[in-house]
Order: sequence, then C-alpha cells, then structure tokens
Amino acid sequence: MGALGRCTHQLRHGLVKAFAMTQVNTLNPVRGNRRNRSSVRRGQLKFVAFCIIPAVAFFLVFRFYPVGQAFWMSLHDWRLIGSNRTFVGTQNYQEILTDPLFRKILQNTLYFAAATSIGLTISALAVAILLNPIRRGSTIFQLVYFLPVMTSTIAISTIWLWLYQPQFGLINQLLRAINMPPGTWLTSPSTAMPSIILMSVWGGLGFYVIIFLAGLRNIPAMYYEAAAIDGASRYQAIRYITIPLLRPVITFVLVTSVIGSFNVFQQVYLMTGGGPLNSTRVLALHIYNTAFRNLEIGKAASMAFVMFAVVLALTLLQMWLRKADNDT
Amino acid sequence: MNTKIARRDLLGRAASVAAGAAVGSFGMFSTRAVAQEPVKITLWGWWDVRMKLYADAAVGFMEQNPDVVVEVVTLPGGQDMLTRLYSALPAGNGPTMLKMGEFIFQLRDEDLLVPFPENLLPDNWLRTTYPNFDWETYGRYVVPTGTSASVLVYNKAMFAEAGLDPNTPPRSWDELIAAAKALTQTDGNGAIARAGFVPNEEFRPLDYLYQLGGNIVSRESGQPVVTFDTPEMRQAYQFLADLELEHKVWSHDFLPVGQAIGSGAAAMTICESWLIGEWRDNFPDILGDLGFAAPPTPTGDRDPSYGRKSLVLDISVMNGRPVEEQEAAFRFLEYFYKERLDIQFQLIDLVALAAERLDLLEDPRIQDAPWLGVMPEFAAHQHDPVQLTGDLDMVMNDVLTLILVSGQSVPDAVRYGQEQVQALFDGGTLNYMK
Repeated sequence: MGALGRCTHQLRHGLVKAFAMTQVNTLNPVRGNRRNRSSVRRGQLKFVAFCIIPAVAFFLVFRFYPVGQAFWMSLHDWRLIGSNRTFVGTQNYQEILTDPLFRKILQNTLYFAAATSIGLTISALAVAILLNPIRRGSTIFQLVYFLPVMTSTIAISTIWLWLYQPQFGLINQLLRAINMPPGTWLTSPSTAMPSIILMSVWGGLGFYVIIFLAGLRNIPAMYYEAAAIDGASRYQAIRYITIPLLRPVITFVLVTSVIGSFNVFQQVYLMTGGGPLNSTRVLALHIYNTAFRNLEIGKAASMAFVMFAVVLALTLLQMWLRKADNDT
Repeated sequence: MNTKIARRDLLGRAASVAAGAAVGSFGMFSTRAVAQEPVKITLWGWWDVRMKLYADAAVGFMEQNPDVVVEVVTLPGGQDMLTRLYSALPAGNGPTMLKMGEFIFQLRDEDLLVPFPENLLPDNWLRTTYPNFDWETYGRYVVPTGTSASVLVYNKAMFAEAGLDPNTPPRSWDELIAAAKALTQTDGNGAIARAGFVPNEEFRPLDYLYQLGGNIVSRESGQPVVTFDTPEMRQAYQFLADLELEHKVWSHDFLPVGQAIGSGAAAMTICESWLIGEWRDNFPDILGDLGFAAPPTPTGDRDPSYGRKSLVLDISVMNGRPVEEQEAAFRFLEYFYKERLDIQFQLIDLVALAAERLDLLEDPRIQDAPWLGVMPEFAAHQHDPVQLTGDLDMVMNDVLTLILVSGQSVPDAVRYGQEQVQALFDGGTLNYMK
C-alpha cells in the first residue's frame, strides 16, 4: 500500500472510529438513560457538523464571499486596474439611479424579461398541449423542440443575424416572395428588441415544453373523461381543467424565465451591441461595458445589486400572487 | 473505551500525513529550482494570420537566444481581448507583450506599459527609423507597423460590364455618384441586388468630413472643443443619406463592406486599406478584379484631405511582469525591429499598409505590389484622428439611423450627435483625439 493509500485507510479508519464513538455509550449498561441520550446526541451532532462543513465552506468561499466583496466594491470608486479605491458610500447607487440612460436600460431589460417570459409560457404551453396526446414518436418531437436549447446561444445568434439580414436574409426573402413588405428587424429601434425577443423565445421554447409536458401528464385522465361525459369542449377542458391544475407549473415557468431573461447578454452583445439608439441595451451588457470597457468596476457592482433587487422584487411578487391565488 | 485517546490518535495521524505531504512537495520544488529554466515571455494579439508572422520571428529569436522562450498567443480581437487582459492583469496572469491597438492610451494612462530602454532601442535610432511617427503623442511605448490609408476600391470587371472605363475611376463626388448609379442593380422587387457604392461602416462620416475640411474636435484653444454639429458634418451626413434616399445606390442595412465587395454584391467603396487583407484572406478570387485609387473628393482635388487614415501599432511591453521577463521582451523587440526587416515587410504587405519605417519606404518591393506603392501618397494627404472608440462609432451610426430610419432631419440628428459626443469627451474617453 503506498503513502496515499495508507493515508486514505487511516482517514477512513478514523471516521469509522469517530462514528462508532457516538454509538458506544448506547451500549454501555452502566450509564443512566438521560446521560446516554445527550451523549449520543452530541456525538451525532458532531458527526453531522463534520459532514456539512465542506459544503458550507464551499458556499461561503465561492458564493457568499464574492457577493460580499462585490457589495464592498459597490461602495467604492473602484477601478478594475490600478490601485484607486476611494470609499464613496452610496454615491454609485445615486449616480446610476439618476442617470436617464440607466433608467432606459432598466426599461429595456424589463420589457425583454416580460415579453420573453410571457411569450415562452404561452407558446410552450400551447406546444405541450398539442404534443401531449401524441404517444408514439413523442420523443422525436420533444427532441426537435429541445435542439435549440442544446445549441450554443452564440451559434444561434449568428444564424439569426443572417436570417434577419434585410437584403439577403431568408426571412425578408420569403416575405418578398409572398409580396409582403420586408421587415427592418435589427436595423430599426422599434423592431430590434422584438426581433431579439422572438429569437430568444424560439431558443428557449423546448426547455419549457418539456416541463409543461411533465405537468400535463401528471393530470389524471379521469378529469378529462368526466368533462367529456358532461359535454365539455376541448377548449373548455383546457380552460377549466388543464390551466388550473397546471398553475404551479405555470408559476414556476414564469419565475424561472423572468430570472433567466434578466441575464440576457450573448444575443444582444453579438447581434446589436445595444443599438440602434440604445434600444436593445440591457442591464447585463451595460454592467459588462461599465466594468470591462470603462474599467469602473465599483459602479458595475452597484448596477449588479440594483439588478438583484429588481429580480428579487419580481420573484417575491410572483410568489405572493401565487399564494393569494391558492388561498382563494 | 477511552474516546479522548481515540480522538487524539486520529488527529495525530492526520497531522503526520499532512506534514509528510508538505515535506515531499518542498523536496520536489527544491529539485526543480536547481536546474536553470529559460525565461518564458508571452505575446498576446489578435488575428491568427498576423500572429503567425510574430511567431515566425519568435522562432528565429529563440534559436539565437536559448535562454528565452517566446509564446505567441492569438486571442479574439477587440473588446474580447481587452476583457481577458483586464481580468488577467489583477490576477498576475497578464502577458509580457501585447500587440497594441487604439486602447494604448488607456493602458498607458493606467501605468501598464514600460517605455523602450535607451540601451536596446535608443531614441536617435527610433526617431531616425520612424521619422514621421508622432513620438510626442505616443511616447516611447510602441512603434508603428504602418498606416492604414483610406482608398477607393472598385471592381474593374463590373466597370467594364457597365460600360465604364476601368482605368478611369471617379475622382469627385459627382463622378462617384454617376458611376454608382450606372453600377447599381436591383431585383424584381426593387431591392438593391448589387450596390453601386457602399460606404465603410466604421466611423462612416469621417472620410467625407475630413475631405470637406471639418473635424469633430478643435484643440486650437488648448482645450478640446467638440465641433460635431458643423456645416461640414451636416454636409457629410447629407451625402451619406442621399446615397440611399436620392440616388438609391446603397441601403443602410446592406451587407458590411468587407462581405459586400468580397462577394461581388457591391461595386465600389471608400474604406481603410487593411480591408484588402480581409479580402485576400476570405475572398481571394475577387482580388484580381479590384482596382485601387485615391478616394474621390468633393471637388476632385486632394486638398484639404483625401479622408481618414489610422496608424497600426506594433508591440508594447507590459508593466507588472518580473524584471527578467521585461528584459527578455525588449531583447526580442530589438531583434525583431533590427534584424527581421523581412517580417516587417510581410506585416505591411498583409494588410496593405503605408510603410512608416524609412528603410521600408525606400524598399523596391513596395513599388512592385499593386496596392503598397500608392498607399504612402494617399496617407500623406489624410488626417489621423489618433484615438477613435467603439462608443464614438456607435454615436455616428445612431445619427445615421435617426436620419434614415427614424426620419429625422439631418440638422436635428447631427445636434443629437453633438450631445452624445460631448458626453464622451466629458467622460474622458477621447482625451487624445485630434
């Protein structure tokens, strides 16, 4: 046995002995019962603590410490390079909240998040309802819808950049072929963001279709059978059975899609860079530019915390609405 | 059973194992330190075709200097490389040398660059070899690879097909528009299938602004005064807008100029000469059809300017690296600039630059290449703004979007541009623009 093997063996032996010690007092007939129970409990607690410490340490080091460090940065005029670190308190927050560009960016991000999450929820639910009755070959359909989810966002954005090309892109060529006016897509401030939303909904659809399908298949068939016996139409079955019973799933999809949409970055960075005329400039892109182009990492950190506050508020609002809905 | 003894025993065994591991690793490091390792230096840059030339120079240098290892790293260009650089520097993982770009002033102002040492690259040698370089603005941190001049690029085959003389390119704006109209083709739906003329998408109005004698900034009073909203700038934007709205030879949402000319979707452009390198790399078949001439000006005269030029900068040495790495890097640069004139020539030939080195200006190979011979003459009558940024480019494109997409008048749109550019100057991102 080599050195590493001996070390592992000793460590394992030590752990076993430590655990055994926690049990030994239960076998000792000399001690009283109350003292036995407290000793066992102490030993068990020690063992549990010993097992949990690595996980807690991991979260402290890689999750909580960086967040705390970022908050500390947000209170400083902190440059990414160089040693300039002046404490400014809440000045960063005051500057960004009074900046008209930041308000526009926040508006763009909320618009994107709302439109994408609603679009994803409605379209994914519709596709799932259509796919649900299909049993044979349903895996193939699910795979087809899931393929964009597995594809890199950069690759998808590159393809859609060409699809949206006003002169030679496929979409405008198809529109011209059926005598419809071509779209301005990414070149106009009024259509650039909807174009990115459309692409994002297409890219994320498959993931939520899978989730809705799982929810639909958990609805007992007897409800639909009873509804059919009562003469309910398909639309009535969907409205009065499917949607109410899928409410928890719908809430989950809305919450997760809103949170995910707030992090939109890759498609905007590649396709528009935030233009034209800041119409697609979103929070994540602005944070990136502030940190890595302007080198103002303190200000970028404060923007990140504003984003966190907004996402948290939206999530709590959705949870509260769901709770109120359940109570009624 | 005694639990205290058992716990002590466990802790004792764990401590002995840890001590043994520490002793063993120290032994391994000590052994490694005994043998003298070569100094490793790194060069970061973008565009693999160009970085391969630097790698060839590195091979030659390492043959003469076995105590140095030079690693050439190719990264994505633009902001992606800067993001990686700014992340690596605080972590101590930055490069020894960096292929420079317009971000040199940002790095220099943050004290991230080391000036050339007098013993290896003396001041009189630098100024003699690069007599036209703006040493006062750039300092002894970098030398120029060459100058990218604005040039009229036109497809001679399309000229002949349209009944135009391929050896007589347009010289004035009126001639340019007349030729563009003759060269433009539309499809059955009226959309432009072949653009007669495509303006360069980067810093679009600048060529025309400089040809009209205007500028974005004035430094006559010593302090920068933003002069974006001027009659010259309005005229420049009106010219661009008329290409689409009145003459219908181009559309603002057309292909980028590199793809448009390379794929044969456009007949003419005024662009920077480095694009010739992109066509040679991605569209080699089109090169034989292309002609190069001085950019057309409002009157046909070269004065006040042919347009815009820009310096292509070479390599700088980064601060913050160990002294032995910096010394090795300067030895590499001395070798590269004094002994590898062949690679210096390949670098300017690669992207059709006007030579800045005196010995290359007099090189007969410059006259033999179809585009290298004319570039110095064009560059000599063009304006170098020194510092241009992506934010400024975005503002210029936004102004054109306001005119062509949102339907705003040229004066209103240019006024918007004035405010945005003023904000950029106030933010300190264009301190060196001329």
